[in-house]
Amino acid sequence: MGFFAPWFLGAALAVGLPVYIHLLRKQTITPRPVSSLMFFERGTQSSTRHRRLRYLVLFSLRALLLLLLALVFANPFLKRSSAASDRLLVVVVDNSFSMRAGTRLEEAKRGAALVLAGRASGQKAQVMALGGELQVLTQAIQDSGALKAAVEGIAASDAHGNFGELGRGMRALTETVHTPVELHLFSDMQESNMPGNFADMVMPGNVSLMLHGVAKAEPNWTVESVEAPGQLVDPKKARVVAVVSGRGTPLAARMVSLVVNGVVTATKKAEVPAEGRATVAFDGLDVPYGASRCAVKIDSADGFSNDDAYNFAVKRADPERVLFIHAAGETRAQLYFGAALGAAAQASFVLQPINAEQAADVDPTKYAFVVLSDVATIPSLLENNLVQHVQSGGSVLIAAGTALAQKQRVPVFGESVGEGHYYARAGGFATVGQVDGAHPAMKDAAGWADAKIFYASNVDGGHSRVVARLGDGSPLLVDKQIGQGHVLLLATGFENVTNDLPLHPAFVPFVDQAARYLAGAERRRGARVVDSFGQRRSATNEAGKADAASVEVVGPDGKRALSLKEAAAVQSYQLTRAGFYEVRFASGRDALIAVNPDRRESGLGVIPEETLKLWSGSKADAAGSAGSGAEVTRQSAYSVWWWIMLVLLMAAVAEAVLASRYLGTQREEV
Amino acid sequence: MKYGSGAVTKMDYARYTAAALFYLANKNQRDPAGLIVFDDEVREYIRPSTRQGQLHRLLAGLEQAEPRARTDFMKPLAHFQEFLRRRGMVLILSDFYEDPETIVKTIEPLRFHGSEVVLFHVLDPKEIHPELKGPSILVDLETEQRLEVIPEYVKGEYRRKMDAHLEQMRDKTKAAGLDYHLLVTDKPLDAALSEYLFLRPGGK
Repeated sequence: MGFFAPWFLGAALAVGLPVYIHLLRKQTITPRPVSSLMFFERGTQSSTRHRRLRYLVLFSLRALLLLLLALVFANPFLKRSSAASDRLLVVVVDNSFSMRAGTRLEEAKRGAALVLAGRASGQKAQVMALGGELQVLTQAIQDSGALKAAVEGIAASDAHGNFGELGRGMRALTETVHTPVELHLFSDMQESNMPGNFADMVMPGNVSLMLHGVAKAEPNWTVESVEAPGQLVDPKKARVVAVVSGRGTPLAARMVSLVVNGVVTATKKAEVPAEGRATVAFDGLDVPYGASRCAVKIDSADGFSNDDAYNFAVKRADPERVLFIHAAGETRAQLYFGAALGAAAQASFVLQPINAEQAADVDPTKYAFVVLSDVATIPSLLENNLVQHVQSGGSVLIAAGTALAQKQRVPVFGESVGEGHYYARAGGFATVGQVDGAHPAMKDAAGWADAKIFYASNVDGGHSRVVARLGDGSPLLVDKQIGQGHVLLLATGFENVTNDLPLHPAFVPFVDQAARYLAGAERRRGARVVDSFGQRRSATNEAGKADAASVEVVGPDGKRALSLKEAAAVQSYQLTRAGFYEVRFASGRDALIAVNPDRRESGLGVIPEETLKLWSGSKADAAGSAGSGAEVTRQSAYSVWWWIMLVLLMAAVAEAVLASRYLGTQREEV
Repeated sequence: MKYGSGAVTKMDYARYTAAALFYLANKNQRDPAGLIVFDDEVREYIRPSTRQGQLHRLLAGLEQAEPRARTDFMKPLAHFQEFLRRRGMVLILSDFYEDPETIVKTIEPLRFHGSEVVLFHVLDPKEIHPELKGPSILVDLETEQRLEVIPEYVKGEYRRKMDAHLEQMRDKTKAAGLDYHLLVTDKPLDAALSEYLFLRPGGK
């Protein structure tokens, strides 16, 4: 017998408390006067004996309670020899993405089947698969056929494995299973599968871990990342930059190909240094109109060909129009904003300026987004149209310059504006104090601090997300969600009178990113990693209710990834497989999402032998003998704290009953 | 008689009862009334009279009466018979912690003179129904004797003995032609006396 936490035994000293109460503290009895003892008889001897007996039983129970409590915290265990048939056999097969390399998965399954076949008669077994999460394939059963079928049915996934998940799963298992567990893990023991904290993968005390490595470290080249536009207008201006990396590799030349819809459009040679990276750039991306399935591939020269390609999706479309509503006679803002929009990368937008008075019957749904450039008043018909447009998912960019200083309310935005700050009148200017770099419109906010703001409207940002603030704390750029759409408000103008921001280089990336954000291109672009989540709903309506519109998700295999019920109910969906997902929204928009396996799976380095020994403990020596089928007898530590807890509970009940009988008032017999 | 579980001790209750009876005899009926205070000796004697100030003398005698040592009926009552020359009415107030047979034998001769004898048995309610929450040490107020007693005994045997004592007192006094009344100190005095006077032969 031993203790997992022997220091808690020190708490047994608390047994001195009942000793003091029962033995050291004197009981005092106050004599009671009576008129005559004529009818009384002496009852001293019997009552004292009875009382002393009860005292001693109560004292023993209380002392026992304290001792048991200290014992429970000390967590005692018994070393008991157990036959193999008493132990639960758990077979875990790693089916993460790296197991696709060579014949790793087949070897793992073959080894698992051997262990299951060689188990003792009557021994229960359970089969699990370890991918992104621990998947329980069978319950603890004795049926050899079902166990074998479960092992054979394990297919390789595209997920990133994590041994921390195995540790967590085993800890959860041992909470319900109190018999010893013999765990056999068949894996390539990839180093990148180790969690950040080693403690996460440590097994509970009654789990014997047997590790079965099915692979050795081998060199592997992969396309680590690809930088490409999600949406483009001019294929000639597009640029695709790919990073090819090698892990455990020597210096080598790799052929890198750009594939568009299954056709190789360009090939380049890259010199990948030993254990290093090489960057390959493709100028021009000749894709047809609409969404295209693109990939960057390298020639397969290693044993793991599944990570030789990196998928990405590109949508080609005509430049989208941006409605620029300005005050009559005002041309500076249009000049600066238009120039910035035209200079932005990919030039996906075309500015269409219009006078506010002439814009009454404009349909905002025909534009990517609408800009209100310092317009004091707009026709009510246009304002109604714009509000409805925003509520149904459209976007508006507002510049609140000096024209709005006399107004109480900003059109469409809805919030009131107070008296603006004329910093120039005070002989100076304001600068930008804080910037929310997490906002999509401010991803490249460098240079904003140099801008001088001479006038800023006093905007109430209480119900909005303040993206940028001036040095005095007043909001400069706020983002307000109305319905499913967004209104982005800049508290100054787009011209060079109220500020000099348009003259700074930071203005172009701001206009570019704000335009992409407002046009919704930001949500549709880019490649994802396996097991990441796609957002089904981008927003909630004003009443706070979730949008009930459904979405259709078609997986890489051409089948629906969500059932009809899930499509109407779930808020997000998990991208579990590598390839291209087609997403069709109820609004008619569609998106193509490229999903790639986590590139940590491409590192085929194996966990060092010392670490594996540390993980499995001394039981690693027994791994070789596992599956022999012999009735092996072992010493196992059984924690017995729950039995002590049971005795403690019974002692507590007995103490309560005895103490209440002793201390309770006695009712008179009538 | 010193004992009292409530606000009034048995001695006080006996004083009030005697004072009320003195008042009735002296003021209402102009009867000569006297007082003997005794325990194991005669402690005070005021001869019966109707003189001016007799009521005040009786009340002063009651006020000075204090419970002392153990009661002994034999000696004081023998002494009392010497003073008793005329027929009258003898009222005895006591807790009667004595064998009923002895009490009756001692008091019975008073009746031979043709006097009417009434026994007022004064008891505290806790003497009839005592309560003990645990083993306790009891002290006799008259003798200072100590005794350890268990609650089980008090709930059972004591109750039986006390009931038997009261029953014997009632039976034996009745058989001897003595009038007997139990006065419990938690009962209002006027109610107790009214009951006695109402039940008296002749109604007064």
